[in-house]
Amino acid sequence: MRRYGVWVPLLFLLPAMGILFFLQFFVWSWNINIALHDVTLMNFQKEWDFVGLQNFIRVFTDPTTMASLKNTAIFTISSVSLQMFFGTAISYFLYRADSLVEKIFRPIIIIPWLSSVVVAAFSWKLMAAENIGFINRILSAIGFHRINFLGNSNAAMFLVVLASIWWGTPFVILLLSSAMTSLSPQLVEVAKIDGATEWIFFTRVALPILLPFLVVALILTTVWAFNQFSLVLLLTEGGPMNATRVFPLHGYQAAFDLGEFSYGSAVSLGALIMNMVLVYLYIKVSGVEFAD
Amino acid sequence: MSEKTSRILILISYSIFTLLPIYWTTNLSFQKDVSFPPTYFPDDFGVVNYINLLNTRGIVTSILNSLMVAALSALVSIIVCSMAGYAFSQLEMWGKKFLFGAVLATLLLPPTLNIIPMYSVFSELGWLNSRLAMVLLYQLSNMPLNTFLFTNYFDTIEEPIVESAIVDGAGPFRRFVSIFIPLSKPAVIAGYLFAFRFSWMEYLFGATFIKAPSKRLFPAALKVAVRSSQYSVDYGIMTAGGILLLVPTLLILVFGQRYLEAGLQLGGVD
Repeated sequence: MRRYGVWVPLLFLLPAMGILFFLQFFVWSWNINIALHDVTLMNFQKEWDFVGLQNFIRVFTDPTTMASLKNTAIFTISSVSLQMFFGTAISYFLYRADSLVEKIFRPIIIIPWLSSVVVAAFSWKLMAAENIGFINRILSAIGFHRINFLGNSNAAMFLVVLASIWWGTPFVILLLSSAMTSLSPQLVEVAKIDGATEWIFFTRVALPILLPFLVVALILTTVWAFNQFSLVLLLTEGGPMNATRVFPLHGYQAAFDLGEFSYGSAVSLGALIMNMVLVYLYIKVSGVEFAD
Repeated sequence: MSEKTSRILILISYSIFTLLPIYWTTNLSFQKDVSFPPTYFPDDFGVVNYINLLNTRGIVTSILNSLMVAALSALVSIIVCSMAGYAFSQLEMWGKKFLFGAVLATLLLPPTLNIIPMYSVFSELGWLNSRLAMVLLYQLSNMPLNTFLFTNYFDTIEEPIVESAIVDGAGPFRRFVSIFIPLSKPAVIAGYLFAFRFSWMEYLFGATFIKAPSKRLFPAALKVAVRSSQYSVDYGIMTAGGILLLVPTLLILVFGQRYLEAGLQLGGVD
């Protein structure tokens, strides 16, 4: 580590910090500015009237908002818990597998991480399509009724959650796999000699070592699931009857479908505050220290 | 059944879950007529869906646009992030931890939450329908992972090499260009692949900010192309489009898996 005054390091950091300042700091301030004014498609490029907190009051007294918050809770809780469950299990099984087995399965399992949200949405739409969908093909082959996934509230939510698990779990696997390299193989051998079963080794030895990484994965998947809406937009457009209209989608559609930009900004700031509270709670409850 | 067998069975089941949607999309994409009832394998094999897709107005242009935007975004990303990583890893400066934290915080502040103010700002600046503005915007999403990657990689470069460069009179700029970058080929490749992957795949910003057909990016153009009319969806175009959108990133996996994995190890949030 070497000192060169302020200017040399600053010069190296300038492009990155310029981008952060403009696209984070300035744009977040602009978001607050829009939320405090009345901005719609009508006056978008004209004068904006200052309305104080009125947009926030409108958002949080709107019954559609309450419905969308409920959808977000259902979506986030089911998607995150299953992503964490599958992510932990599969990365652990990959870690415990022979290197040949691992070499075969790892690339297959990370394919969704390389899939655009459009690929995820299109392929699950095709899986669930009423006539040509794989799921309905199987259901009718074994004598069940076909399900109209996009016409039934519960089925649509199920589909969105399923697609988000498919899309999001590989990231958890990648993150935890790099953490598991710190679990040395000798540890397993020592535990085996001491008579520990696989389950005891996993819960008593592996989990405590992995805990900080699990908390990081939990925080990231929660924030991403909470704010995820492009997948929902492409799969169901929030339908049927707003059954999958999650909270951030509620803001996006208010802005870009109805031209209510201020309303949308108030939603996104609401989402930001909820994110910060969730992250704070996770860090407090887990008791993991994130110094440095 | 031994524990080993059951572990492999679980991996197989999860792999089937992963592959099913891809298999089904591929299967349908090679059927001449994507209609009822579908078969498990294309018995009327044909590439007509791909031909229809490529003949759809604006699709080929959008593929070229996306390739250009992704290639340029990735190049800019490795320049910006290697410079930042060098400062974080090698130079001492007041407030560095705070700035590193600001990069880290980007992971927890999803840019999509800011799409409305960005739209407003880009509109004021005349940046809507601009592919270069997308290159700039994608830098934000690519920054955390690539900055960690370069910071951690530069940390592993051995001190004697740096010391001897200093003895030879190389200043901080010289060392960056002639020592750190040339010794960091794996990080440069991984960083390029990460940023290319993200920028090629991104849908929401591209679809919201670029409406001019000649400038559209591929994911957004596909979404427009599958809507054959207001109420109907062209499944043929959907299948072929999904596969074409997936192929470049799958090629990254096939040819760059070594770099991706090493890169993720370094870029991991630890």
